[in-house]
Amino acid sequence: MDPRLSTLLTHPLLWQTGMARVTRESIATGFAALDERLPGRGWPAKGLIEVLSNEPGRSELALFAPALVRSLQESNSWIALIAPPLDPYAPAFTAAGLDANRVLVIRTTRLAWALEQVARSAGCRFILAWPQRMQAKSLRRLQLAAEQMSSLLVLGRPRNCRSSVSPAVLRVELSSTPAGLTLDIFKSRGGKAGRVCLPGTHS
Amino acid sequence: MAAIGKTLDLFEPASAAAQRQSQSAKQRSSRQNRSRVALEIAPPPRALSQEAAQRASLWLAITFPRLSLEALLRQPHGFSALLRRDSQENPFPQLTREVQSGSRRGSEAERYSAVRDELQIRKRSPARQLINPAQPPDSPLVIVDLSHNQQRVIACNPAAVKAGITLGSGLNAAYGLTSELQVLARDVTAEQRFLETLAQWAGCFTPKVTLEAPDALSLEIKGSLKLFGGLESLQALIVSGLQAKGVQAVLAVAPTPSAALVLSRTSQSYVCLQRSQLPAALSAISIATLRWPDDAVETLHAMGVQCIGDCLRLPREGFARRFGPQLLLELDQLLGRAAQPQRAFIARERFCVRRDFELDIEGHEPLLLQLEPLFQSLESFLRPRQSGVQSLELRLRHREHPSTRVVLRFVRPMADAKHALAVLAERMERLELPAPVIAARLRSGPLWPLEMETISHRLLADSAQAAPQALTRLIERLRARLGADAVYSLQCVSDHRPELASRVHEPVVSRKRKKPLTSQPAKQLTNALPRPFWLLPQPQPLHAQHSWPQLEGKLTLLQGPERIESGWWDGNDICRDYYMAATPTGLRVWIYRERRSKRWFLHGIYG
Repeated sequence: MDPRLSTLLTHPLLWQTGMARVTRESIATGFAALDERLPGRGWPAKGLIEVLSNEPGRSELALFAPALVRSLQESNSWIALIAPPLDPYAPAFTAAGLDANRVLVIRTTRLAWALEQVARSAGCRFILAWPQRMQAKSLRRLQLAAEQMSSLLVLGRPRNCRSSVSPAVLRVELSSTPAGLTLDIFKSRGGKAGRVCLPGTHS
Repeated sequence: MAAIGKTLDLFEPASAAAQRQSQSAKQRSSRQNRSRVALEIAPPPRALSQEAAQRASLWLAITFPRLSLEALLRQPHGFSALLRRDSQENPFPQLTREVQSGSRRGSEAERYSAVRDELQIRKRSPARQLINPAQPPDSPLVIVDLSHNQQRVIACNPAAVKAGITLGSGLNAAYGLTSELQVLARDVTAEQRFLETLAQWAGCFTPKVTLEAPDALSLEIKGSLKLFGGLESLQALIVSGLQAKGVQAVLAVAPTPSAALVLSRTSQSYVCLQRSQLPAALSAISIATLRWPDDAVETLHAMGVQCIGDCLRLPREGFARRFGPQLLLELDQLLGRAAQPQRAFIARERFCVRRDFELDIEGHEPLLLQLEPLFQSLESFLRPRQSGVQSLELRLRHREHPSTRVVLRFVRPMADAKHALAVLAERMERLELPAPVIAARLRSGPLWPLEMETISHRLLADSAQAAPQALTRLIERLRARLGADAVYSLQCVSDHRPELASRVHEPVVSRKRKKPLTSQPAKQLTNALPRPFWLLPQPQPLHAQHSWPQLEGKLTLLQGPERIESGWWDGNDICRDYYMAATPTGLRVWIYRERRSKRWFLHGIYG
């Protein structure tokens, strides 16, 4: 390539679609196929991620566990689970390499309030929540709070939320197939939409 | 005897002084010409050495004969008479009714308990007469101890003494002497608190102050004599200080703490500086001042022993056999032959502040605004002490309702008014006030040293160190609003039974980073299945077709079996084969087959 062209291409004012060099921080997902599809080769390190599925609560943790392990080894942070549909099981966390003592479970019906409290606090860097319904306004506030506190907020939501507007950095729809989990990335800031199958997704 | 000798092994054999004492006592006893053989309680074979005696300290005991009355007079909000005998009002209606109707079935104790109930009912009833503590009444006032069946007067004011009431007389006898008698119930906690206040005050004379419950203090003053210019001026200082407080006290000085105490109980001051003078000083004092158990005192009285001098003439072995080694030890301690360790009083510090509002306060937000100064004074109390509190009690008083009590608990000691207020604000959301608030009192639990982190957090609010702090605060806020049960963390338990391998745990925020756990909580077998992230609260029975489990269709077994057979020892034994299975849609689940019933259950979801 012409050296003049390459200097031009790296010019900060020149923005190329599809080849965007995403310089944002990211956390490797632990799945090679998924890393390739995500900008920054991993989950965004901060902000709001929406995971839509038929039955929220089943697969989100398994999907994010490898990334959590990698990231929590470096920091001293806690994981917050807000209104999980089932009981989290400590031995699984330990087996995955996470400290079960550093999992904060919050069971509440006043989810929007609790979620905002956790998001606005610097105490937990990873927040997984399963809200029944969320208003667009509070989603916006959560996204802002998560960016500000540089925490990662994963919302497990039902599939029918796909058509609603959301300020999330990343939105995926999750479905399980006999081959493994299938992710339909339909909104990815700085990235491309598309489907990816994660064969043999293990917790 | 042997036991006594053993306990005093540290000390050298009996001193010459003690032998001299024994001789003089023998002469005295022979002079008294008693019919029985009078041997004396001789010093134990190994008593405190001369050297130890010189090192020995000088004790000043202060007994407060009217402490129970004075403590009541010092109650911060005034105190109230239990009942007042007016000509119109009969203090014991129940009792008289019984007597009038002629049915004297009830035993003495029953009748007294009826009186006590009556007294207690009046204590609770709002129609109590409030006495202003600034102006104690001139009318006769007595204090009775309600904890005993026999209501004896344990303290009385000068007016009551003038009316002829003596300590120890019965309540009915006291009523017989004067018609306008006021009766107060003894308040042991108030006495204890008052004694602690006095001990705190006495701390300005010596660092070694001991509480001698229920009504005395002993102070080690040997080290203070020089500073305060000799014994006389020190005593004068203490006496004038107590007079300024309006407390009646008897001071006594002796080389041993218990001797000083016994001397101070005799209602007149006494100074004894030499250990050799102790037997002479104590011999005429009644054995009641020793406050020994009632049966021991009665036995001694029956033996003709009235005063300590009589007691010291008893044979050592016989005394130990009859009354046990403890009382013998006490006698030795009294005369300084045995060491008597003292427990130094350490002032308990608590924060407590009360505020009356000018207006009745209604609504949460105005109340929080009014409470802010209380919390700020808490912070300014705690900061200089580098202390924090883990619990706070807020009492909100209403005009006609019982007061509302709010307890705030903190995960770690804190001293931050803002944070406490924020937690209170969350707690208030769950609180319903029955009526407007007229006054509030904020009281702290025990003080704890504030961790360095908490202090540094104030300086470096944005540093990475702030994370545990933020988490602590987050947990407190969430718990204040949602309740403590709603916020928890997890813990692995070393149990093979899946239901018991995980439990809810109190969140513990530690500053230190823990190493990631590498070992498995329960030792896993080689063919162990991975554990699912989600566990069902109860295993859910699965429909089976041709003995094959079904969940949203036919399940495919992916891994397993892992046999878990455990718990026969506590009755919750299980015998299961666990499998990892997948539904037709690809959802991986944790199922098991109960080996006895051959039934299938869903127990967890891998996701």
